[in-house]
Amino acid sequence: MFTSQMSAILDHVAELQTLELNDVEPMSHPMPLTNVVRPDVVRPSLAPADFLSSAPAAEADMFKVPPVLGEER
Amino acid sequence: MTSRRSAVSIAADVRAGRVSARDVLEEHLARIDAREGEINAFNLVTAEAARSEADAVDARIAAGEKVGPLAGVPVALKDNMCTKGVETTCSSKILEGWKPPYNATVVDRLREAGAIAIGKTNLDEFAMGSSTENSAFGPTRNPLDVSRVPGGSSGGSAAAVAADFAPISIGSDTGGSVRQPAAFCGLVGVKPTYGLVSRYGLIAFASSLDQIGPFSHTVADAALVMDSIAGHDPLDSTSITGAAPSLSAVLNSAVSGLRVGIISDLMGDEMDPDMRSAVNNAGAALEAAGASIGEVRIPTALSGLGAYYVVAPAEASSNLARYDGVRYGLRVDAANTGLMNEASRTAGFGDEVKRRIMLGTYALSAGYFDAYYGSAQKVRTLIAAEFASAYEDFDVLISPTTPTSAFEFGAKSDPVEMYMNDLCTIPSNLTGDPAMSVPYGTDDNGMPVGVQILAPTMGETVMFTVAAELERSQA
Repeated sequence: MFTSQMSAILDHVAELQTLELNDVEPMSHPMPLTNVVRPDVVRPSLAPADFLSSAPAAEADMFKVPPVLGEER
Repeated sequence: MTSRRSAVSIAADVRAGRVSARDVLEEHLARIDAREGEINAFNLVTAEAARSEADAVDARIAAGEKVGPLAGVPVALKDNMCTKGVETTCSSKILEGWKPPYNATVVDRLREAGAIAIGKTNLDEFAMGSSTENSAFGPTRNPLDVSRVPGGSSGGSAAAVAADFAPISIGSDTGGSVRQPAAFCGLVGVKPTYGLVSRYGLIAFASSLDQIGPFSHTVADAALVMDSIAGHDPLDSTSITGAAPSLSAVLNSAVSGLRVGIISDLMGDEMDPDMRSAVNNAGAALEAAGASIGEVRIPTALSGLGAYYVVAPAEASSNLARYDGVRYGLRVDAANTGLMNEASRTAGFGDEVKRRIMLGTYALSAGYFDAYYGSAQKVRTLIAAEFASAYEDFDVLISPTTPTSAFEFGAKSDPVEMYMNDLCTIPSNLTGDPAMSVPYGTDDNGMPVGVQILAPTMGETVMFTVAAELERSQA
């Protein structure tokens, strides 16, 4: 199902390539922003426990995950 | 049904002590009790929390304290806005049960203004869709005709206002997700200038396109909400730093002398004749009020759809990478972390979300980047340039909000056909300019028709002036 739907979507989107775009600059964002910085001062923030409480598994102030390596499919 | 009251009049009555915030709330909760089973506007109704908020507003009024402009006004929040300690799901199984540790800025601002949050509304999963049929928790029905969709993705927020469950609600609009459901449900719906309303705590879909905006029955109510939520937020570095305009103040300004352009490229055969005649009628009403009407071309407008369905999935494929089963949300256990990520996403995301993640990663992949994402970014530039040129000759532009009125459930099973719904609304998200939908009559089926008003960046003032005139012209 996904395969046929994806090709229909890509066929529709391919219409973009018929436009004359050679000399057009790309636009990634509505605002011409570069880096936005704030003063480097310490501000209050939530405690680790506030975030860890919604984790599927946590231990000792860390998120707990299954082994990263091993048991390949 | 009791008579509908606007947010403006509810707030005035509550402030003056003519009615208590608690009584206003109970009226709305009673309507929810009576009809929510049929409509399914909400993922969660927070009745008890709302009762304590309303009682707190009443206590402040009794003590003679100053209360905000939305004092005692119930508001429904799209369930992609973070609410501290209150389940926030994006209508996705992958976030089911998640309770954010903080509030979205818009939630805090509504509360500071005295509004009473009554619940979290249903949406297409992660705001991806135009009918609310993509929710993992079942579709929302259009209160005006329950055989039809309310639109999407903010379908629950639109239905909540249309069913008088709340006088106002908040949605998010990435490609039309406030304006299209507003049109389908006969409401006012606003997509503000990108950056005018903080996105802090709005769960990201496509970050360069997402904006938060209100639904309401009246233009004045939408202005009141905008005046409460707009303005710079240090927590959103893309939020605009200047002062936000006062929109409630411009509703009685004259439209005489304003130049209004009808976008002829959005008045073709793709649009139902009833949508086109609503736009022509709206143009005639503005002309009668002293505006001048002309036609304007945005030749690349229709190509916006293709550009959008590259840019939005590309950004989504990056944003949704955070749902990895590690820090929050669903985890499906597996032998190692990679397999756990995969199993969690397979079980947690619905089909449309998977489709867009695949589309986005494909469009960004090395061999296809220039052909898809690169071209889409350039089309974005073309469309922005065409609008900028149109605004040299016109103060505002108008078009249909949608190609058709609300359709029946299951009518658009083909994704491309569903995407066509966003044809008229997408250009404003690509450019970042503001746009809003106002109801303007009904079609052959008796369903409401929306007319879209588009304005240049930070042009909310003139946009709301025109919207208010269109509303008066139907009174």
